[in-house]
Amino acid sequence: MIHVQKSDAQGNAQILGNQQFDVEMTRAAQKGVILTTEKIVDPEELAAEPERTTIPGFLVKAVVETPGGASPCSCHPYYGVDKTEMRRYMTLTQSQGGLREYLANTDESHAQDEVTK
Amino acid sequence: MGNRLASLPEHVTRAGNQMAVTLSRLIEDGEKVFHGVNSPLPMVAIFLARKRHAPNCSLIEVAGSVDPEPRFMPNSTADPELCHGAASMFYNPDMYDLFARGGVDFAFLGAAQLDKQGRANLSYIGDPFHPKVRLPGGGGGAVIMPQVKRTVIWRTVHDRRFLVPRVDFSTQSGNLSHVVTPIALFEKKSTGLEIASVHPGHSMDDVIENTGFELEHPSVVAQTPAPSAEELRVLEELDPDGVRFSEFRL
Repeated sequence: MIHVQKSDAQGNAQILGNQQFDVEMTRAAQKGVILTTEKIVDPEELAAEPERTTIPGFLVKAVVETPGGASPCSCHPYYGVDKTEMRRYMTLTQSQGGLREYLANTDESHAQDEVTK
Repeated sequence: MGNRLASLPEHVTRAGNQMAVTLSRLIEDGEKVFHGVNSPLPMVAIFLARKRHAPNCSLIEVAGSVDPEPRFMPNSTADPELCHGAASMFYNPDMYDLFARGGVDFAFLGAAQLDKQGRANLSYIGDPFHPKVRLPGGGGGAVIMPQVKRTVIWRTVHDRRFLVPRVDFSTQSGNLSHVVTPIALFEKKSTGLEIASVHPGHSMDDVIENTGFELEHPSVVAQTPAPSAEELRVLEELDPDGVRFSEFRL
């Protein structure tokens, strides 16, 4: 499972900013890739700059449109690390009870995310 | 962040600055230098070296760039800020190819356990089938350490849990050059790790008491030079938020 900034409904995708190991992981995933993406765009938008589209849709099993899906970690250039939320996560998840409290009280406004493909 | 910095205990700011300058001075001008993820002290040390004695060293960033000009020191050492203003992009596969061809001079790596022979453990503590602690693994260390010309290992704790007679598992070993802790600088010699110098404010007895393997006791114990006023000034300018202290447990 990897999170990208931009993909089309077929899973052709762009990682903006630094690539880290994510592109290699898409090649290595034997059962396929599940993409979460900040937004699903028209294929024409990606086709206008194919040199940035480093993940081909044929490697991808499912695409989930998930704005803010990397939060509280960062998604360059849309948002940085949310340090306050990160501290809350690290404090609460020290225990099973805290983990439950964290999950119960965490914004799930992205829960309506649409699955394509 | 400024407030947090002001509230840091004095022993942490002293140890953090000493470690940053000690790591930095190990870099030679013109070298190709690498730091990995979760490496705030090496990151700051490399930028300090580039501003001071090693302006021509090339920084190969695990974030995927060469010679970036970040506007601030990020908390994560794989942050996209470490590609800002870079001379070029250079992704992880390129980096590993370069290591494999012997093209990298210097790498900073971590270790949870380290023994006198320079074997580093980042895998587990205790019984392999029922480990007491499952560690995060070495990342690329097992490939980097035997292929890079010089490895420097650092850790912000100096105790007998870190410096052990024999590691529970050897995740990585190879071309170890130096080890930097809050109290001393070790050098890898033919006999294994030995003390090169002890930081100001600490003694050889402190080192022996907190090291789990045998050390030669030099007749004259060298002292690590304290940070100069100029080094401290550049450190403050580079890292006003004190990211270099973030590895210390308070």
